[in-house]
Amino acid sequence: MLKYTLKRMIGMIPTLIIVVTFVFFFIRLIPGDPARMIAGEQATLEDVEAVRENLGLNKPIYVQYFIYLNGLLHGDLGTSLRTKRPVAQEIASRYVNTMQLTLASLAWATVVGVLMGVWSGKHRGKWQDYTGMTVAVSGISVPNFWLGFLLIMLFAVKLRWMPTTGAGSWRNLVLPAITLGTSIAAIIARFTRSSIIETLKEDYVRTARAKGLKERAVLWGHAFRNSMISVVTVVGLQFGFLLGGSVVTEQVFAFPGLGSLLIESVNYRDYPAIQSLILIFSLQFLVINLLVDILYAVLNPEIKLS
Amino acid sequence: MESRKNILEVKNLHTYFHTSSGIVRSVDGVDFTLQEGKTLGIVGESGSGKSVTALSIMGLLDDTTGRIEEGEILLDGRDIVPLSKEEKRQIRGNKISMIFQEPMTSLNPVMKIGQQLTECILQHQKVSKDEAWRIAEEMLRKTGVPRVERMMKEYPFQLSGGQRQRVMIAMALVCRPRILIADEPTTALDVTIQAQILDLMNNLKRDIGTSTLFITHDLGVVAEVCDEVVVMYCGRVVEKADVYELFAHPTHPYTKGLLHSIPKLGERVDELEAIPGNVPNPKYMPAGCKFAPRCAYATEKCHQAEPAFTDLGNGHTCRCWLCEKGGMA
Repeated sequence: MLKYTLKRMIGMIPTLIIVVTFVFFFIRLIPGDPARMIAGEQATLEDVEAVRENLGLNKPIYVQYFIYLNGLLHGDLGTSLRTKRPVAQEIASRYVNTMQLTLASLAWATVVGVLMGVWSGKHRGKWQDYTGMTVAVSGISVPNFWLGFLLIMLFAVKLRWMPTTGAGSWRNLVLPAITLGTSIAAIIARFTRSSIIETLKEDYVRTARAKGLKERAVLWGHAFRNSMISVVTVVGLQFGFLLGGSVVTEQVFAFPGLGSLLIESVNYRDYPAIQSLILIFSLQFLVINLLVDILYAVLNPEIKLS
Repeated sequence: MESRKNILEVKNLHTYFHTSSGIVRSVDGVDFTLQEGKTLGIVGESGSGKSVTALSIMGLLDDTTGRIEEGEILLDGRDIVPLSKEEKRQIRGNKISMIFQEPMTSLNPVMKIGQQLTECILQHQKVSKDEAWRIAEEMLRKTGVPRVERMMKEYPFQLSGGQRQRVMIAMALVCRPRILIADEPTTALDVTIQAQILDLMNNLKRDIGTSTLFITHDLGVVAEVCDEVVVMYCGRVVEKADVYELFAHPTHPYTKGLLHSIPKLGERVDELEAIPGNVPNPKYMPAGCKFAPRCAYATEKCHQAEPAFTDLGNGHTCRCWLCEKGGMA
C-alpha cells in the first residue's frame, strides 16, 4: 500500500509540470497589463516601464518562466503583485478558511446525503423514496446565492442567531456551510440511492436474506459497504471542487476564502497569485484522487490485496 | 415400502407476479411432498416455475412483485404461508436453507468467509462468537476444503468457483436445517467439480439428516442424487414419480422429450434431439394442456381442456390425456 502511494505520488510530478507550464503561459495571454494597473491610470509611460522592470516583467517570457520554476523548486511561490506580500502567506490564511468551510460543508452533506439515499433506495417506489428524492431535486435546483441570501435574512437578520458575514469563528461557518452543502447532500443522496438499489439486487444480498438475517443486517451489513464504493468517488469530486473555493457563496457571505482570492487576483492580473492558486487546486485534485483510490482499496479487499 | 414422515408438503401452490403489463402465473397449482431424509428433484426448463417455487417456500418473494395467491406450504405439518415476515425470517437459514446457482456472485465480495459463515449461526443460535467460529470451521472442514483456518480469513475473490460453492454449502448447512433447497447448485461449475459437489451434498445430507429439494434442468444430475422427481412445465407439475420409475417409464410427452434430448455415450448422432418450439409466453398461455403446442401426440382434446392427474400406480402420476386412456405409444 505504501509503495503504491509513493508510486502514485511520483506519478503526479509530470502532471504538475504540465499544469505549471500551461498556466504560466496562458494567463499571460489575458488582455491587461499588471504594470499599468499597479502604476495607476495617471502614471506616465516611464513610470509604467519602471514598475515593469521592478517586477521583472520586462524580461523575455521564457526567462520569467525559468525564474518562476526556480522559485517553485525552492518552495517560493513568488510575491503578489497586488499586495507585495509573499503569495504563500497570502494564500495560507485564505486556505485555512476554505478548508474549514469545505470540511464543515462536506461532513454534513455526506452524512445527510448518504442517510437520505439509503432511506430512499431501501424504500424504492414508496412514499419515503418520493419524499427523499423530491427534497434532493429541490436541493440541487436551488441556486446557491439565493439560498445564501435566504439564510442570511432568516437566521442573521430576523432571528439574529448567526453573523451575516465574515470568518473567524465557527458561527461564521454555519450559514455558508449549509448553503454549500445543500446541493452536495442532494447529489450524494441521489448517487447513494441508485447505488443501494443496484446493490440490493445482487445475489449476495439474496444469500444474506436466505440466511434469515434481519433486514437491518442485510442492509447495513451487506448492501451498504458495497454500495459505498461508487459513492466515495462522488464525495471525492465534490471535495475537490469545494477546496477550490466557491466564488458565489464566498461573495454572498463576504467570506475570505480561496474563491474570492482567485477573483481578486484575476482582476488585478496578479500573475504569481493566479499561478499558485491554480497549482494548488490541481495538486488538491491529484491528492484527493489518490485518497479516493486508497479508500476504494479499504472498501474493496480485492483491490487492496491484488 | 417404509413410510416416512412428510417434512415438507406443498399443496395447490399458486405464486403470481404482478407486473405492469399484467399478471404472470409463474407457479399455478403445484403439489408435491418431500419425505424426511429424501431428495426430491424438481426438473424443468427455464421459466417452468421451479425457482419461483423455491423462493415461495423460502419466503423470499417480499422484494419482488411476486405473491403467493393460494395454497399451503406445510413444514412439519404447519402451514408457513400465513406467517409474519419475522416468523418467516426465523425459519430461513435455520429450518430451511438454500444454495443458489451462482457461487461467484452469491457471496459478499467485501466480507471474509468466516464472518459470512458465522453470522447465520449467531442469528439463529444462542452461542458465543468463538463458539460460532468453531462450528463454522467444523462445517467448512466437512466440505473438504483444504486449509480451513486460513480460508475463514479470506475473501471470496481468493477462492475458486468450486471452493465458493463448498462455502455456500457449508453456509446453508451450518445451522443444520431440516430442509435444504438447492437451486441448480452445480450448473455454473465445470463437470469434474460438479461430480465432487454432488457427492459432497449427498454425504452431508446423510450426515446431518437434511431432506433436500433439488432444483435442476439436468436429468443426469437427477439420476445421481434424487429419490423422487417432479417434472414441471409452465408452472404446473406434469409428472411425478420415483426416480427409477421415471427413467424406466417416462409417461408425459414432455418428460420423454427431456430424456430424449440427453445425448447418449457412445452413440454417434449428427444432431441432438430437442423438443420443438419454446415455453409459451406466460401472458399468452394455451387454453388446454400447456404442452400441447409442442407435443407430437397432441389431439384436438389436448388443445381444448387441461388434463388432470392420472394415477399410474407406485406413486407415479402424470398429467396427460393420453395416459388417462392408457393408450400412448
